[in-house]
Amino acid sequence: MSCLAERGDAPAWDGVLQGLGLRPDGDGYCGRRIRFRVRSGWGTFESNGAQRSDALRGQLGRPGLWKLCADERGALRGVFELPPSLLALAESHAARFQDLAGWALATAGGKLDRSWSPPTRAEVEGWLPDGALTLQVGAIARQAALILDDDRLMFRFPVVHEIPRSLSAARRAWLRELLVDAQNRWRLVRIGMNGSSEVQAQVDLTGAPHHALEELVQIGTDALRFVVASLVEPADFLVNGAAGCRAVELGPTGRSPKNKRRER
Amino acid sequence: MTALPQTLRFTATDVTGTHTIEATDVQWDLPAGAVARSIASRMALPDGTPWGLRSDRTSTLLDDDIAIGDQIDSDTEITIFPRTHLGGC
Repeated sequence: MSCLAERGDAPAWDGVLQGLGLRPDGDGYCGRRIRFRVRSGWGTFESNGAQRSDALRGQLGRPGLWKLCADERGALRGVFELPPSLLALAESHAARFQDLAGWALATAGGKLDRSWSPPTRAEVEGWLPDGALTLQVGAIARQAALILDDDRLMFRFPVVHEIPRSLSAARRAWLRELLVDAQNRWRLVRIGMNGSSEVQAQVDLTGAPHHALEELVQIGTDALRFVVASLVEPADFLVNGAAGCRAVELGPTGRSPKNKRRER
Repeated sequence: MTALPQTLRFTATDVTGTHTIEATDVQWDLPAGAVARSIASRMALPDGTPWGLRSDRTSTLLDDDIAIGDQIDSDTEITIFPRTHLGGC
C-alpha cells in the first residue's frame, strides 16, 4: 500500500488528506503548514519548525509524536511519523487513517483533543512484555517511567541524570552532537534536555486513537529502548568518562578554544 | 513536566571484598536485579552468573523484582553476591 503512494498512484488515504485540507503536491500532500509523505513505508507529517532554533529544547512533554529534526540543509522541521503497519490499515480502513491524521494535525500545534481519554494502566502494562521498561547496557541500567494521566500517555527514559556544571565545552558539544544525531536518525523517539542538566528520551502517545494504541505502545517502547541503549554508553563516557582522549577534548569541530585563538 | 525520579547513591562491595565501587545517580525505581547486573558488569564479574544484592545494614537480601529504592536508603552499603548453590553428592 505504501508502495502505491510512493509510485504516485492515488492511495486510499487520498480522500482523507484532501478532506483535511492537504492537496496532492509532488511526492506527497501539502497544506498551509503541514506536509505528508510516505517514505520507506512510514507515513511522515512535517511542519515548519523555523520558529525553533534548538532541536533539543522546548520539545519535551509536547503531546503526540512530533519532534524537531534537521533536514539536509540543517533547517529544523517538525516531524511526526506513523509506522508502516499502521499506515497499512489505511488501505482497508480509511476511517482509522483519518483518526491518525487527525491526531497528527491536532497535536501539531501542541494541542490535545479534549475528548481523548487514556487507556488504563492495566491495559498499557498488559501490552508490554515483562521487563520492557528496564534497560541494562553493560554497567549502566535505566528504568523507564510510564506517565499516565487524564491527559498524558508517555514513556520516558533518562539518558543522562545530570550533566556536571564543570563539564568542558568540548564534551558538551560532543554530547549535543550525539543527541541531535540520534534525534534526526531514529524515528518516533524525541530526545531533549530538561533544564540545563538532564537528558531524556521519550515517546509520547498522548492523543493517539485507541484502535492504534496497543501497536503504538509496543513499537514505541521498542524504539525507545533501542535509542536509549545506543545512547547511554557514549553519553556516560562523555559526561563521566575520566579517560583522556584528544578527539573528545577538541570537540566535534576539531578546534579547541585555544586553537581558535591561534587562528585569528 | 513531571520531575524525574530521585536517584540513590550507595557503596557496593563484592562478597570477597575485592571490589568496591561508589554507585551514584542510580534510579530509585530500577529493579534490584537490574542494579545487580549493572554493578557486576562494572566490577567485571562473570556475566553468566546470576547476581544478587544484600543490604549490609539489615542483612536483608534484596528482591530482584522490586525497586531498589523501596528496599534500601541512599548512602548505604550493599554487597553483591552470586546466587549459586553449592553442589553435593
